[in-house]
Amino acid sequence: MEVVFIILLNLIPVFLFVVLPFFLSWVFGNWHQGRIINQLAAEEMALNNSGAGHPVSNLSKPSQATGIETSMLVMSSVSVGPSWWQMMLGGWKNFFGGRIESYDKMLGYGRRKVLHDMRVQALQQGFDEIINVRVETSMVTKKSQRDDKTAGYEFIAYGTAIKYSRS
Amino acid sequence: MSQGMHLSNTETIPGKLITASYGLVQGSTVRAKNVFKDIGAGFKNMVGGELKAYTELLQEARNEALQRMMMDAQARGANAIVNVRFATSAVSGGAAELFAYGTAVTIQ
Repeated sequence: MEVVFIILLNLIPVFLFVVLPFFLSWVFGNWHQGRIINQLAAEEMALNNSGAGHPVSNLSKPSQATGIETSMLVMSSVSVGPSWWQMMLGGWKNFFGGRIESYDKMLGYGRRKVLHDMRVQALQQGFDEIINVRVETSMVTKKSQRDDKTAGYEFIAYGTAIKYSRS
Repeated sequence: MSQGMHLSNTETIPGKLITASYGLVQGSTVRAKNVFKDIGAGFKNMVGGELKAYTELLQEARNEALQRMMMDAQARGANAIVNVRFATSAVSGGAAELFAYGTAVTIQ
């Protein structure tokens, strides 16, 4: 009886520092990520429903032959990271190979977010279009030898915003 | 951001004529986050999502790289930079290099 008790007592720290963080990460991560993804989807939907155009393209030349009033470089960027739980799932998948669905969620979000921000920027500042848009991804934190539980990916979108002269 | 300097990531400044080219100009900066921000981001990683500390840091750093590139171009007497590209690389854990480069030109 006493032996069982001691074993259970020793399991408490294991539970507190190993199992509990991942459990919380799973629960709150899902909740938080679901919330920001839904929020972005709602913003995109609202923009589409308001009849706003899609001014962002990766054409290398302006689509209209009319005169150009101004042009400038615009960019938007965001850093996102998967949750500990997703990182752990990703680590598992790395062992067996195959699609890492847990990473899809946040990386997909980051890419959609920068493009959405560009579109909003163009509409708000009154640009007619943003051409030659490039989207780049880079890893901002290298996971060190000892796993420091930080992983960040940066997405940046940049392009040339154009305002046509109205005459 | 730009003091009269025209920037574009297309081959020309739309609607403008290029009269002279001064070759490649570049600007770079290496930035590290402080330990507290790293720890903060580590905890933010618990739930995932946007890491605001990194977003801001990298935006600041990218602007600095752009400024340095523009100073380089100004020193050569250019008034515009075309075909601007960005590159980011993680130098070591917790530090990133932001790099901007383009071709300095004069436009009418």
